Amino acid sequence: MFLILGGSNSITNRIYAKLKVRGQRVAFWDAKSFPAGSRLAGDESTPAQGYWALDSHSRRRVPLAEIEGAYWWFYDGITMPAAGMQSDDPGRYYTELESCLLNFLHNLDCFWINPPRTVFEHRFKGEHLALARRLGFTIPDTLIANDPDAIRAFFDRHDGDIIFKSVSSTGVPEKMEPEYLDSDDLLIPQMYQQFIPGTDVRVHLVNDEIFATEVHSDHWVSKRDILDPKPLVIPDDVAEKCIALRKALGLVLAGIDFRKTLEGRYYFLEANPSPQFQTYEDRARQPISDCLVDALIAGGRSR
Amino acid sequence: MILVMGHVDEHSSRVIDHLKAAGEEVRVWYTREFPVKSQFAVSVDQSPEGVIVLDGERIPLSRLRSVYWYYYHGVAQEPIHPHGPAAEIGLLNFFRCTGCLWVNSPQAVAWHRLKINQLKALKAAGIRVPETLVTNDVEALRAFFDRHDGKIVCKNFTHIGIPQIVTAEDMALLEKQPSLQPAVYQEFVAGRDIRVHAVGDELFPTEIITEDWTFVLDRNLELKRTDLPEDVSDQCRLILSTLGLILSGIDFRRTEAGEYICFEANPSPQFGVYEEACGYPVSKALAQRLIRGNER
Repeated sequence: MFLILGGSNSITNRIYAKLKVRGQRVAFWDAKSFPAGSRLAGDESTPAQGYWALDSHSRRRVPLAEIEGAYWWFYDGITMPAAGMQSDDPGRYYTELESCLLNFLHNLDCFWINPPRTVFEHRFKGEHLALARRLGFTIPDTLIANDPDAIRAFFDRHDGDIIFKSVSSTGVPEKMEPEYLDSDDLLIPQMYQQFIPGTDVRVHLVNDEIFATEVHSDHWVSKRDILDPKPLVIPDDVAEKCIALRKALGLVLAGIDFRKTLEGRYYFLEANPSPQFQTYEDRARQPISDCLVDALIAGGRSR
Repeated sequence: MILVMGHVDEHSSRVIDHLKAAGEEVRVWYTREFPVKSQFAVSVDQSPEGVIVLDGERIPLSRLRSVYWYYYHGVAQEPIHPHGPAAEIGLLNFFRCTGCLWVNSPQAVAWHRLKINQLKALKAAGIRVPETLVTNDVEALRAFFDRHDGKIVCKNFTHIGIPQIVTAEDMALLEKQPSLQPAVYQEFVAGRDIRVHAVGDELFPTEIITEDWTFVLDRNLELKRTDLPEDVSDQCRLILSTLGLILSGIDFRRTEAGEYICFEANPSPQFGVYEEACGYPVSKALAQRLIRGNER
């Protein structure tokens, strides 16, 4: 049996349908249903004994040993029960309950795309950039900071041509404007990067299969509108480093973002463990979800 | 310079005193006022350059030899700063980018939240750990309770708390509830508590003599030095390497048969009382390790 973590949407429905067509049992599970709407039990054994009752209505329980694979689509916390709202310290109460779930997920021995640990590690983009650099990628000049003096010096060093973005989550980068330099918002830590003129390149990897696309957009950053992703052949050395990075991060599936300059130089930006690949699959006609389903079934079988 | 993450109290001041006596400069970072009273900047580079600003004092990262993760207070909440929680992940990113020694590493401290995983890793390494169940299902709890002849305890995950014995009456009450709060349950192991403080290869084992099985509230407990069998000493070092720790307070229970069962390995132990009672140089050993920094 395969689990899809996260709600039903156009990507997860596609994976669900493809697993079904291949004769597999599949279930969705949304962590928001925990703890009131779903029950679980797991222990410290390897592999975990226990089961998962995916919803409170059915009495059906899935023994953990039957779960061959899981696709980590999306996790955005659990739902605080009403009792927790009245607790003295709701934050602590929530953390306690969520820890139960996180412990359970991390301990669930099945074939994960991607393993829970790698998904959480994605919040540490600074570390990932440093790793990418060690593996030989070129990265833009990068500063992680909430020190206004250091941010202004970085801005000056790059003649004001810098962007900033979240240090932990996927979001749309913003161009740094001189008036921001006096804002109190500088106290919120961000990642500041030298702006690299060029186009966006997205490389999806499923194991060692590579699907690269170049994205053309009316905006300087294509995340605002992915207009026309075109299949792209990336240089061998970039492809090799992509595979090396995917392995180093412990990922099966990755969506790696690059900036490609007019001279053809690739600047590594980030590697996403739960990429939204649907637009690329549909418009560049790259069979990413087929590959993902193959990998899930093969990985599940090998355990 | 050595940075102490947390605050000054009777435990951390022991380490700070040793550091100062050895001629080290020490700063204390109370993150509860981040990002208003402290800031940072770090380049993502092979040898990261950067700065920590504490109450206006600019400390270049190049001056920082190591960081002692004593206690993490989190970051500012309202009204100190409206976006404090959003700032927190930035701060946690910074911790991993300083390039200096951390005792313990932010990764190892974060992993401590995943206690079941820790127990699993220890078990896989050959360490005896108690049988443990995480559940919010009363039927699973009932099966666990029965399998252990009604001798189980309930524990907190995330903060220090006193384990509770689960009685037959508790079970009867829980079985009437429509839903069970998720929690972690463990087999009850009878025996004597042994706390081993470890700083690298140096081990400081203490026997806790008490009538109270949880000992936490016992004002009359007695702490005394003890010796560990050689295989348990080896296990302590294995626990450290398995969990990526340099410093730990490892909790064992020694059964009547002389078996050592590991309950957990705390990455930021409060060892002051033990050091005091047994005359152990834990804080000195820790200070020396911090001063060595990344040199082994």
